[in-house]
Amino acid sequence: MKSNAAEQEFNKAYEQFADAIFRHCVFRVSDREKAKDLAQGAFVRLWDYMSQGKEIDNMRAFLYRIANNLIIDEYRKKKTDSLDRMRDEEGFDIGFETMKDIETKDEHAQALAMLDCLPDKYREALVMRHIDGLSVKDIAHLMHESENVISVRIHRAIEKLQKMRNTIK
Amino acid sequence: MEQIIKQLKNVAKDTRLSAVEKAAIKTQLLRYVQAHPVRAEAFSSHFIPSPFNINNFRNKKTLSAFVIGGLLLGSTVSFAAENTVPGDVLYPVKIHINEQVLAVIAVTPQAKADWDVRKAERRLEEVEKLADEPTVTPEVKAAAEANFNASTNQVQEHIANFESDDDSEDAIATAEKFAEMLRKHEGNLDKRDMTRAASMIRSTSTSEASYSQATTTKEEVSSVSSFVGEKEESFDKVLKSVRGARGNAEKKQKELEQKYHKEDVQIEASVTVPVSVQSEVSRGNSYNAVNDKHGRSEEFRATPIDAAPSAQVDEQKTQPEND
Repeated sequence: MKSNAAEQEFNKAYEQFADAIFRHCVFRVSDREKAKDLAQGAFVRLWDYMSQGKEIDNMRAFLYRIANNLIIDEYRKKKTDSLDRMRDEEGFDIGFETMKDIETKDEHAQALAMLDCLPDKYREALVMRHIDGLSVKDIAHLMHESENVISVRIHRAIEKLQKMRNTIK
Repeated sequence: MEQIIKQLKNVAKDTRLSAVEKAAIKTQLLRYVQAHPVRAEAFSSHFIPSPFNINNFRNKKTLSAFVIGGLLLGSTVSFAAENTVPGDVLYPVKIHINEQVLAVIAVTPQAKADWDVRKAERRLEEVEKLADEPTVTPEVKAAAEANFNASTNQVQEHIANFESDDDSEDAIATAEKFAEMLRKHEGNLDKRDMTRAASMIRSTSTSEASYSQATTTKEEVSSVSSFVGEKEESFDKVLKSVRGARGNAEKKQKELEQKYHKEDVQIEASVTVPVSVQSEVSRGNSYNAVNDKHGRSEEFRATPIDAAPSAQVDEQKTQPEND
């Protein structure tokens, strides 16, 4: 009976948050198939946790945290050598070829391509705030950073996107 | 800036799993759920959370609040109980908690004996306090005195135990401390007795004067005198019992000192020393027997190093005779 209750809770969480987690993953990795795998992986981990009988206070925050960890793992897998550079602001520089790609793409692909050019710490803050609609406080809690740091990251991310957009025009 | 955010939001609105994709993922997840069912033992403990489970965050808060509250309450009660006397509500706390804790701290036999001396002092302080209280019933006073006597007996038992174990130092030290404590309290009681006597004389003269002026009735005078008489009686009783205990303690102390002094002398005598030194020892003993408490300094006086200067003194004494 208790097992059924846990399954019901898990199903409810899937129906409620599957799209949001998938969207978050898409905007973080810019790859739909990979995002599907990551979203599925996040729910698998959720079930692993729930099946141990552990309680979850905030399901949404918990799922975002799992997804974020999985995305970081994914980055590490593919870009082990360039992850540090990517997290470093100095590494932010759009090459001529990338710019040309962005110009030719449609609105959806263009947005993803622009996000792809952002350093990851700015990208994750921006996606969580304006795509997922999380509050700065929640993001700060998830990222283990202060609210001020998160606000600055979001602001700088938008500035950089604006700069890119102006360059494209 | 707003345009970019708007663009991102528009794109985000359209980004979602298709019904087919969502169903496919759900099917896979359900398979996974069936393959990895809930652990029965995990749920047995978590779905009916124990109220004592410290891992529950709310419980942690409640528990810490209880612990802090308990500590505060406990320390306040314990502190308040320290000044209580028999008949008070918190007196059992003083006897059964505060003193038990203090007794546990005393580990060595000497520390235990010291604690019992202190306990006897505490009982005596209670008796003294009650002797001054006009509203206390004789039963309570009797109980307090019985407590004092019991604690006195405990101290005497300790001394007897030290004696039976041939622990002369501890036996004498305990007897000395006990006698000293009783002497101190007796002195205090004597002072109070004198002050009380002086005030009694004053009050008697005042009441007599007022009686002669016919402002007080006979009954009032008799009630006052009976109350004063009761108080005086109980105070005298306390003073008497303290004197008795002090006398016994001093007697015991002297007995012990004499006993161990004799034993030491016997041991000294059994030790073989040179004849010249023995004569010095016999001379030294006459001094030591008077001045030294336990007669132990003979050991040092009996050494040849000390004997040499004394021989020189003898020579100096004999010199004028030769001249």
